[in-house]
Amino acid sequence: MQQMAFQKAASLSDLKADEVTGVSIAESSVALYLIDGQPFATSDLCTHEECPLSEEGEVVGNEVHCLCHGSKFDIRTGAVIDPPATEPLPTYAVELRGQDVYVDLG
Amino acid sequence: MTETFVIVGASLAGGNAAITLRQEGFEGRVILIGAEHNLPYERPPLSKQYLRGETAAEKAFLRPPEFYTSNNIETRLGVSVRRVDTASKSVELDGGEIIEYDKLLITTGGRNRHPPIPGIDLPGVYGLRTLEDADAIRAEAQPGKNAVVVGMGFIGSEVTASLRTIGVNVTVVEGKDSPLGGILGPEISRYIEKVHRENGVEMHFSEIVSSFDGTDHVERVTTRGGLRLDCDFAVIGVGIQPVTDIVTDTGMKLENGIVVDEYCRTSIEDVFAAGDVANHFHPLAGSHIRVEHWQNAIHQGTAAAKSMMGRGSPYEEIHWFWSDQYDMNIQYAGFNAEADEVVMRGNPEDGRFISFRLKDGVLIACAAINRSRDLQRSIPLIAARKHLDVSQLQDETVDLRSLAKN
Repeated sequence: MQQMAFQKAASLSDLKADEVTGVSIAESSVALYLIDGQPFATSDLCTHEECPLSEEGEVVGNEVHCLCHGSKFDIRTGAVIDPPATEPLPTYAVELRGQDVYVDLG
Repeated sequence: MTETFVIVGASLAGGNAAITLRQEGFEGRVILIGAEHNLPYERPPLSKQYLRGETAAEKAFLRPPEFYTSNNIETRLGVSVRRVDTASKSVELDGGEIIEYDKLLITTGGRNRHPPIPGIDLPGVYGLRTLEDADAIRAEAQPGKNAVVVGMGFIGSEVTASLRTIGVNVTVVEGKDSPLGGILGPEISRYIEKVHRENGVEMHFSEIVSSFDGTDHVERVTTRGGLRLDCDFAVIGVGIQPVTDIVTDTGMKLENGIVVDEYCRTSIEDVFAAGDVANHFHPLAGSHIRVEHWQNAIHQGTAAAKSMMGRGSPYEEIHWFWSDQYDMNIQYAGFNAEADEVVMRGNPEDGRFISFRLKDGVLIACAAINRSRDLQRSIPLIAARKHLDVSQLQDETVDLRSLAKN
């Protein structure tokens, strides 16, 4: 039976609604979000030109907007909502264990 | 009854219109006609990452070829439209073929200005609009070569930054007294000029090219002021003219491009226009404007498609554009009108700042260097057109989103 490789990413208190929080997990850049009290995780790198969303991203509702060139993604699914990005943003499974946010990079 | 929607111009606006028609469920024929031999692609990479050899051409394409076939979008590429006959509702292609339409969208964009300067047709003197143009420049742009760039608008300044980045020596000749022609305001353009200078670019302002000299290839650029600039090649970026030839004898209202209302409708029924060619009525500006931005091509192409399907809404986009040069992400949003007050947040010395341009206390535009978050948060303020307290704009501790709430 395969063990899911969840790793601790942050404390829930580190995350804020309407903000992108960047963390490094096993040398991967991961972006964390808080939507209606639920944590979500995606790659921190916009799929257009790899601008880091933790620095250049803006959360609007369920979307993260990359402010470099305007790409928009659905945080929950990674789907592209607006170009120039055409490839979806990788998303990662998240588990809340107590007050700790765990992410599985898959 | 199956309707046929024809789109003339297969670039960003036309391509996005075709995509939107299918996304919105249009089931009639969609025929996308383009003079270039390529499927729709976006042009911004041509002066940036593609020119520098960092990305492949494929990345610039809107969709892969399979998308068009699987979505039943008929494409006629490498074909020019000779003329549009709005009386019989048909377009005539070069070669004589006639295609009838129920609705027509014109997204023919612009063509580069080609001023009557002696020697401008010498090999080695390039414009930049198409993939082929970018490939031609790339072939000449080797480290250590000398280039003259004519024009320091967006194309000229981006090409300059890209050429410098790959080791080409660049000298710029610009007719105005600063880069980017006053669009961004002096605070921003002075900073951009400084960054170019720090990167080793030689710039000559208030200078006009009088000739390109050489026998089989350009070897030198001469200016009216008497400068003689030796070069291995030259790139000209002095603006575009909207392409309206195919409708000149239809009686369509033309002025600075094709005049359209806020639903992208031309003065002729069932004919629409969008993108660089469209001089569109903007409800918030209260006047017609024509913009040459990537964002407008995408969003207006989409808006026109919805209008063609009878489900359009007024196109009130706050125009926004970006330009990447060296480490600068330059952004601008709003209206290109005269400001009577300009305030700043942040400092040029820090390499990240934003200027707010106001008229009668209302924010009409902002320009930013490496402060895209604040610029994006200011866009609702421009749309709201409310009076603002300038000290709150300047105060770094004030979240601009809070100013939009009432």
